[in-house]
Amino acid sequence: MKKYALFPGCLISSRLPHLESITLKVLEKLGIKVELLENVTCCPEMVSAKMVNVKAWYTIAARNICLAEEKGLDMLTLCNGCNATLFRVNEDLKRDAKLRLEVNRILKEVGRKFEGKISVKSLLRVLYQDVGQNEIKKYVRKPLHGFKVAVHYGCHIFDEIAHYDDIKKPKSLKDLVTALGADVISYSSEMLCCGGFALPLSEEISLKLAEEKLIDLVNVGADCLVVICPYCFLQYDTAQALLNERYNKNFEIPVLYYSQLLGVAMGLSYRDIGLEFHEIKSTKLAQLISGY
Amino acid sequence: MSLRSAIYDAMKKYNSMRNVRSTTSPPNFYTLITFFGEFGFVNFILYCRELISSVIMKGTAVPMTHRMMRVRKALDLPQIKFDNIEVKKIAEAMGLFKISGEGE
Repeated sequence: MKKYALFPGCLISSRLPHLESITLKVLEKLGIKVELLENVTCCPEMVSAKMVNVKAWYTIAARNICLAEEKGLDMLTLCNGCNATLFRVNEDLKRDAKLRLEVNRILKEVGRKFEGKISVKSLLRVLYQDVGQNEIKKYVRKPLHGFKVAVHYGCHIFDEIAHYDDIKKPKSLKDLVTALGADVISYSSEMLCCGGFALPLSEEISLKLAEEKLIDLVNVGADCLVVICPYCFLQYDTAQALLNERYNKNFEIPVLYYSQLLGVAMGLSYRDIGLEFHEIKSTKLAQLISGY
Repeated sequence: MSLRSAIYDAMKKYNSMRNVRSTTSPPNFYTLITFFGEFGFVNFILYCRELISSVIMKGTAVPMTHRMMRVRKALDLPQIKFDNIEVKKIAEAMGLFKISGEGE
């Protein structure tokens, strides 16, 4: 049985714990063990931390990786942002001996040492590569036939995706959705950023970016949008509520983290899947879960 | 200005900001805040500063609330303890307190 050191990340731990909960449930059903890492810090977030001090970004991230190394487990990330930082730092420090030496000189102050012994993997990579579509199919109790799913990868996953998928035409998440029996639908703004990055700059730009995709999803008749990043999840879920409230729009496209869609197909309950925590609910989805 | 050109403009400023940052030592950060304030990017710089400050002082960019602690408990999830001891030592060793404003 495969086992990973779980790095849930700040946002899932502190704002979206239902996504952590459903992920643990589906991983358990798939026979994957996880050990929650204790005393972690923020990954730290790539854009802000790199801009302030690149070496600090490497060092704080390396310290988090050390915690998984000390357990002798590969690290599992649930957030694209965490993955972008931890995957990149792990790869760079393994490759660059001079940088590793500099980082380890500072880590020595806290009694740690980066050894480069483990891999950092996203949930997408673990499910796509380590588990595989065929294995996932075995656990489907309620095939999602006729359910039209649009996927959104999220910008920060593409550094890792380049190692196992085509970054121009990625299919890993689509394959995982297809494995559940659902129909993946294409739409023109599939690769568009969720706009979460623009939030500290301009809420208006951020909402407009989200709206561009939401309009496309309505036009293609998507039953839901599936994401693999909690920031993208939050952006699309809350943006719809804000757009509906402030601009009199009528968006009601449920946004699901992939573990939630997997949970639906595995026959887990509405409560297990955590849909009560969503801004946007869906009757069709609720009917699908309850078996009507 | 269209959405795309606004984003393009934002990304251009952001990239120029990063280029300057990579050749500037940490104590000059406040100069940069002034500089990018003129670009209209002061919000973003302050956001970065706040975020780094939170990571150094609390170990997390998104502090845990009592409500979320209750939600975690209800979901049968263990309480999360973020490190704020080792990260402070790292920050101290790298002169980050000055940037985050915590050492003022």
